[in-house]
Amino acid sequence: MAPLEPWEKVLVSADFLNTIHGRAGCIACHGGQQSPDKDTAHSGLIADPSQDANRICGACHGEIVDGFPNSLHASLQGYQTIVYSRSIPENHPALQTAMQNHCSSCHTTCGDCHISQPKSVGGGLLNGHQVEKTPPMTRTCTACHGTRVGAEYLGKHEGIPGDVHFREGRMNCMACHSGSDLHTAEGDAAKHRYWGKQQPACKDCHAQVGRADDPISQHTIHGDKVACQVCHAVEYTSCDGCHVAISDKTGNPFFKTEATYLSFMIGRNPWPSRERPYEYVLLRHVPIAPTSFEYYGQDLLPNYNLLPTWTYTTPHNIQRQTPQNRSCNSCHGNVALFLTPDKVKPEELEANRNVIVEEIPAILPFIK
Amino acid sequence: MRQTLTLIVALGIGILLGACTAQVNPVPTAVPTPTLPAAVFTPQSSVDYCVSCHTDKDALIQTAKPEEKAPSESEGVG
Repeated sequence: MAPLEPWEKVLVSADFLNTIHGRAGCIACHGGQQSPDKDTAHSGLIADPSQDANRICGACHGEIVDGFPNSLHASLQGYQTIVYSRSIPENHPALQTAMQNHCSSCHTTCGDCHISQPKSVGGGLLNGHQVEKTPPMTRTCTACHGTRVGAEYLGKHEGIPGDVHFREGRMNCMACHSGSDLHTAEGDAAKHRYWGKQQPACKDCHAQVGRADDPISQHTIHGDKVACQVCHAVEYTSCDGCHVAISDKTGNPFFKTEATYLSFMIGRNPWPSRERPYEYVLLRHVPIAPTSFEYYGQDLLPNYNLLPTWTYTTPHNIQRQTPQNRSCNSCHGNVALFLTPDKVKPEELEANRNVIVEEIPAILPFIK
Repeated sequence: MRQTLTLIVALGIGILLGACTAQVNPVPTAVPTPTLPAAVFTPQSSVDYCVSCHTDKDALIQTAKPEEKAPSESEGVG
């Protein structure tokens, strides 16, 4: 996605002025004042009025805005949950500062999806200020979720096909992730995306899977023991060793990631629950390191080993047929697919104790 | 005696009437009033400057400030 020119970012279409949002008048939402002089007109300007969603958007869309603070898009609570779990309360203020500096740019407002491109990719109006009920996938969703989800879903990794839902179904993100799921979260789902109900769940559409009338016996055999992605995803991105700091030269925050690579690892489910009862799930290496936040203080993650560094993932490159589901023994007995102790860095063995597969499912004799 | 009583009653009525008359007709006092400024005709602007500029591509190209982005020191995939 090419960045927009400065003028392009703020060019309003005449059509917008005839819409219900356009008829409200610029100053009603953006402040500023009527003047032929640019600086005077822009004094007191609010570039993204939806940062105050209650006042601006909530006047008409109150039922959505009321729940929005609970959504992970608004709260970024998932980061906090995980980082704090590896720390102690005394360290929370320093970590809060670090997350404010390095993570908060991902915070999303109503306008970041429905009116403009997100700030993390330079901003700019999507379509002449028209309010897009369904945000355009590549200019909003994958503009932020591009490195992993976007690249996987759109098939940007050489030699790895895009997700079948995109290749064959031309489905965009909203085909599975409904507005109501994105606008709020309830219960444990408000703390971490894998802690609540599966939204979406594959079975929402593939209801026949595992039922008596399912013609694919492997679905019934594996039941809820194996997450769908274990058989139907292919290689996906993992990262190592992210460190954050503030530049001495510019004063701007920056990060350094040691490594990014494709991998495919089946491991034990770190968070089995009623909603996700699987014994085996796919695991992605996340870039946390004991020293990730050392710029902000010494030993800020003293409980680093409480959570795995190979963690639950749901890659977005689903295929009907994959190397591991070609036959039973493509997976059974295939040690390369499983997170065995030898594939984990020695210093991370303790953290991953609960997800490492000590004994892989045995090869099935007499079956190809 | 009767004359005295009649005189007292007449005097009382006279005092009462006199008091009421004084309340009904207060003496007006001149109050200074501030001088109002002369009315000035201020026509409401018929031009929406926000719209006229932000729908004009050429005007925006002329006036948009070039963005100076500090080089990022980040390394690797975010």
